[in-house]
Amino acid sequence: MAGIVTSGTLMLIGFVLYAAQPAWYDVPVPAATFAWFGSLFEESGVAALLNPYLSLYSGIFALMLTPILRLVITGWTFLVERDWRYVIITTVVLAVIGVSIVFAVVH
Amino acid sequence: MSPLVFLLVVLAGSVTGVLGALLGIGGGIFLIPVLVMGFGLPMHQAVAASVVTIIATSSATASVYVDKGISNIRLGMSLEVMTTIGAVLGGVTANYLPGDVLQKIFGVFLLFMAALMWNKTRTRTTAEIAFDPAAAITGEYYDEAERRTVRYSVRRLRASMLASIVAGNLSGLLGIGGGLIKVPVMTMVSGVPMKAATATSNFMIGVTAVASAFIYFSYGHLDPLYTAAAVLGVLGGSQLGTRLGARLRNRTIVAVFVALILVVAVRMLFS
Repeated sequence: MAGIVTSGTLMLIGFVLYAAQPAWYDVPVPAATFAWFGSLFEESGVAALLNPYLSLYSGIFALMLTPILRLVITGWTFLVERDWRYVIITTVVLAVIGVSIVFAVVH
Repeated sequence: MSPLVFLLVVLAGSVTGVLGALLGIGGGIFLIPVLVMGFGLPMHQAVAASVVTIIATSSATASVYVDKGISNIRLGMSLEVMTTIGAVLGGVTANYLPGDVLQKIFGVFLLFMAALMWNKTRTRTTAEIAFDPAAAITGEYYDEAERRTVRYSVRRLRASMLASIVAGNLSGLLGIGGGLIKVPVMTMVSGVPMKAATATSNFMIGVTAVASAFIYFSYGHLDPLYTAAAVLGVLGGSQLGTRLGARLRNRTIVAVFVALILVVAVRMLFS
């Protein structure tokens, strides 16, 4: 639930910032690349924090991290129980998700 | 996106959340056609938004079922190996398909789902529940409605794993949760009680969805405005749907929903 609350709050902040600054309505939606994130903080920290897309993307990524964290906790629980079979299975699932993350970064 | 469009997308997300909670399905079946036909969003972006809303639905509900011990984590993880592989492959495949082709595949899938849902209200979908302590995976939970502890063992795991790769593939390809496939497979093939199967599916769909979400993101299909608005709506709607669920007759809801998705399927196929 902490992940849901965090991501929901960030998304709400993003929409409040978006609605409060109508100039953003006509700006094309930026793609969340590493270059874009880096460029945000080139001007000033305040300008970056007022950028609604930073909050919106952060909220979405926080949400996407939630199931991954759930998997990590599940794997840890199996590790504590010394259930090696399921430690391996959970690691394989995490590895598949890792492949998709690497694909996203490289693509 | 104007504030009005934002509110309308939140509303669409809310209806998705309500239907998802009432019918025990992921929201993609409703959300994707609304985003495509109602808001003119390209098919791939609608699928990407749907995939993220599935993560929200799963995260909001899974913890409750896990805490109550109804979700079978070992079964879920065993099946998840196949569903995540299927989801990644489905996500990559979808991004190579033109939007109109993906839309038609979605239309055909809606017709299939309508038939499956209608059939579900008329036939018994749970295999006989048996408990073999020597089985590779067993489970037990306390059924509050029946006021007893239900014990079961999982049968034919390999067959369920094979079906899970199809569920994962469809999830990645079409942005649906896949619960409509996973739950019947777990109950009918592996003899898992319906409550445990639904709870385990809820745990799984978020993990499956995140595997393909990164693929859609990498192709630039993740629109933060539509996605976040839909997520906020789904989170609110699923809470409302859970409360409404106890008051409405499930069969009536299913009949209305089946009629609705038949109309949507025809429009998706021929638009």
